[in-house]
Formats: sequence, structure tokens, C-alpha cells
Amino acid sequence: MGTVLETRGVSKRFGGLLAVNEVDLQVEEGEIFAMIGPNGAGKTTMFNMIAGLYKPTSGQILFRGKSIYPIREFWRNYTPLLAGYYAVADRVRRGLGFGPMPLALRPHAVTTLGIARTFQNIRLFSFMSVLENVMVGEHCRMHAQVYDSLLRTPRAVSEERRVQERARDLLKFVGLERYSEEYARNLPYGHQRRLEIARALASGPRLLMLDEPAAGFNPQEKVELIQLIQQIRSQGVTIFLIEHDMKVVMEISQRIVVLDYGEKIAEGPPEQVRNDPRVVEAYLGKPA
Amino acid sequence: MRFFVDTLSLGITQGAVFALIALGYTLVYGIIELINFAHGDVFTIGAFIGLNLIALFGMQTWSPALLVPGLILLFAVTMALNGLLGMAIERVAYRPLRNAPRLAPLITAVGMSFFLEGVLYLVRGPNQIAYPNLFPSGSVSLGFASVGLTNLVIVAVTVVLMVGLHQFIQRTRVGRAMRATAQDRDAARLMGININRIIAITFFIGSALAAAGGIIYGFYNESISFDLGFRSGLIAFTAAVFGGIGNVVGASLGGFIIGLIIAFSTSYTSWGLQWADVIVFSILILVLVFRPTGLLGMRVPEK
Repeated sequence: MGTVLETRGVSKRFGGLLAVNEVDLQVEEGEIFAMIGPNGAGKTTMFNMIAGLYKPTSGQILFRGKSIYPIREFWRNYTPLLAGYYAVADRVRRGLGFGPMPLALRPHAVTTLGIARTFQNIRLFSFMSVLENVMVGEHCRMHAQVYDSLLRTPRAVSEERRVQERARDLLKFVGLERYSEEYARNLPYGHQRRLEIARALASGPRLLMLDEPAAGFNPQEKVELIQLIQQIRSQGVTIFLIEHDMKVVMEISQRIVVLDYGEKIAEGPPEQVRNDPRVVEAYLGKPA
Repeated sequence: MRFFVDTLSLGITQGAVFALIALGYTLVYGIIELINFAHGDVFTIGAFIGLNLIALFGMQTWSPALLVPGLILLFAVTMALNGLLGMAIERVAYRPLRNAPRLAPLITAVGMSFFLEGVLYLVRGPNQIAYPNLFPSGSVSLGFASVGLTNLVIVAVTVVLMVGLHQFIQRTRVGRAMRATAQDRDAARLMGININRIIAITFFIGSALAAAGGIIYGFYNESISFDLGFRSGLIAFTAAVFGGIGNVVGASLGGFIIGLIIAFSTSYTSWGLQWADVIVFSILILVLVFRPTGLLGMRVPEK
């Protein structure tokens, strides 16, 4: 069991606001790891940085021991051919006094590495069918190029069939197979959340990041969600979630990290975090 | 009756060209919400590339047996070259402004349009240039009227391209990624879609279709000029808005309808020839006022 995801002193500054301040995290392989904290604590910002949407102001993010930031390591690890290009550009920039080449691993490449996520506000492709939404998730695992599609090469045809089959399996897994031809936006809210999870799983992640998966759920739906998350984990996917619902968090997570005003204030197993005076203070204002 | 059928076939044939251009407007608008004003000139350049290739290989003199595969190759090569041009335009004029305010790429689009037109003017001069028609001439008699073979071939080619595009968008990996990118760019990126690539491919497809439209225009009108794209581009843009910008089926339909409107107003009224553009752009204004989403548009404002 190794560390799947690690952040080292990651900070993010938006203008004058320090949204995330020097946060160190380690998500171990196969665990369910939760990040909690009051609104505005910087949780979603952390997610966005890990997913590659934001570039950290400073610090490093490592996925399975390899650095996602800065990009330099990425070139070295994943595209040796382009390392030369990067090195030249880097040297020219430094020579001209612009500092090191500020490249970031773009979000789609992060997904391809094996990190998938869902969103706090549902962001399905609303005018696509449920099945197609899941198939989009498989995009980065497919190989058909434009010319394959135009010429309908056997490779493209069989790949399309295989991907569709897998998408149907995933829909069955989250219990939405009945709705596969519906527009995503016509699904009830709870189903949309499940569909987002299926779509994220479609990219074949090692690490699944869930941003408030239980938001707006009734108790029954929460129980089903917990079961679903545990099933996903039992298939070998590490789960990293943000959640406000303490009952859900305490029930499923092995370890919890607490952020407040962008800083990590506590970390540990649920019982320990629950009784941590700083956590109680962050949530309730003063020691209870 | 004969006159009516002639007008109908004229309208549909011209409409086919407008539709092919309109598809490029609508594809690009659908994916990055940019009205690519340079698209009309990309269409002109497509026509010129086709003309140069025909001249280069002396295709006017080819025997009919050779001409069929020759024409397919001509279309394929011209479309590919023009597609690459479209991608290059996107790369230099639009991608650097991806995160700039919406107005900025619109301005560069207008600038790019003038630039391309200027280059064409410098290279080919201001005159009308003759274009050979390599499609079969002659006509098919229907008894009460006759239809030109060229018209039939043009409509057939156009319909094949449209159906192909529709299938591509609906059925394939890249088409699905295009739709996903159009609906939510950030979510698409986080699903592992390289949106820069998808946007480049969109420009490629739009410009390739415009090239097909350019060749067809040349074949049908038998002459082209450097500023062809200005008027055709604006009319095609009207067609795209009319059909519902961002909607591929709508653009095709809009192109044909606008072509028919122009044909019937010019043939059936004494003043139509001079007033055709007024009619078209009045339609644009009316559509924008009364049905901004167009005939088939169903884009909902999100965000």
C-alpha cells in the first residue's frame, strides 16, 4: 500500500486572498479519505489544483510518487521525447529573465493519469443522453482518431462497441441502466449525482475525488451513497471526498483532514478528529 | 411549371453552398461561442485551392472515367488543405485569446477576415477568375421540366457531407467530445478531453466543409473572385442564425431556406435581383428580434 496522492506545502493565492496555505496531505492507496471544513476553507480549491484546473502558487502535488507540478517532472516522466523542447524553452525564458517555463499539466492529462472527479454543482452534459455522458468519461481511454471515424476502421467500430458496453455496465453499477437513453438533465437530482460518479469512474481512475457527493440527499439516499462508495473502494479505487454531512463522513472515512481558512488544522481517524478542540472551534465558533 | 422548377433547383443549389458555409459558423459558435468572421474568406480560399489544384493537374481535360476518382481526390485534398488553414487560423488568432473577454477574439476574427481577403487580392488580383465546371453538364428531363445534372450532383455531394458530419458528431468518440466541450468546457477537460485539440478539429471540419462549398460554388457559378467570401459569408451567417446558431441540422436547413428565398425573390419579382441582400438581412434582423434562438435552436443560457 503506497501513497496515491500527496501534496507538499501547496498554497494557492487569489489576488490578496490566500485560499490554501501550505497544505500537506497524503492519501493512501485503497482508503477513503475525507476533507472537511467550514465553507470557504479552501477544499474545492484543493480539488481544483489536484485536478489541474488551478495551478498552485507554490508547493508540489505528487500522484503515485510522480510530480504533477511543476511540469518539468511531467515531461521527464511521461513524454521523454518532449523533454528537449521543454528544456530549450526553459533555458530561453530564463536567459531572457522571464523565470522558469510556467507550464502546468493540463486537466485532461491529469485525468488520463488516473484522477477523476465529480463536481459540487452537478456538471453533467445536460443535452446528452445518460449513456453518452458515461461514454464521454471514457474518452481518454479510447484511441479512435478522426480518420478512424471517417473511414470506419474496424478498430474504431469495435472500440465504440466495447466502450458502449462498459458504459452500460457502469450504469448498471450505479443503478441507472433504466435511464440510459434519457437526457441527463431530465434525471432527478439524486440520479444526476450517481451519473456523475459513473461518468468519473468511466475514465478508469486510481483516485476518485468526490466533491460533496451527499449534498441535498435524504437519509435513504445517503445510505445508498455510502454503500456505493464502499463498493467502488472495494474495486480498488481510492476515494478522496469533500463532504459536509458529518454522519456520512464519520461513517465511511478511514482518515479525515480538516481545513479552516486554507490551513490544515487537524488530521486523523474520525474519532480523533471529532474530539479535536480546534475542529470543534472551527465549526462552532468556540469550544463546546 | 418549368420556371418554378428552375427556380427551385437554383435555390436549392445555391442553398447547398450557403449551408456548407453555415455549418462552419455554427460548429465554431457551438464550441467556443465565437462568430468566426474569417470563415467567409476561408471559404473563398477553399475555392481558390480547388482551382489551383485543377489547373495544376489539368483536370479540365481528364476523361470522364478518370474524372470521378479525380473529383473525389480533389475534394478530399482541398478540404484537407483548407482544414489545416482553419486550424492554423485558430492557433494564431483565437487560441491565445481563449480566456480573454468575448469581444477580443471577435475583433481578431474581423481582422483575420480582412487579412485573408487582402492576401487573396494581392495574389489573385481584383478580377473575376474563370472556374471550370467539372461536374457533368446536361440535364435530366422530368417531362414537365428539366433539372441540371450539375445541380443534382451538387445536392448529392452536399447531402452526403451533411449526413456524414451528423453521423460523425453523433456517433464517434471525437464527435462526442465535441458536443461535451460545447456544453461544458471545464467539465469536458476534467473528463480527460483535450479541449484544444477538439477545438482545432472543429475548425478543421468547418473549414473543410467551406472548401467543399467553395469548389461547388466555383463549379456552379463558373467564376470566383477574391471578395466572394464577404457576401457569401454574411448570407451563410444569416442562414446559421436562421437555423439556430450552434445547431448543425439548423444550419443545413437554414442554408437551403435562405437559398430558396433568394432564388424565388430574384426570379419572381422584378426588383428581386437588386433587393436580394435586403431581403436576406431583413430576415436576419427579424429572426434576431422575434426568435433569437432560430428555427431549431434550443441553446439555453446557462452560467
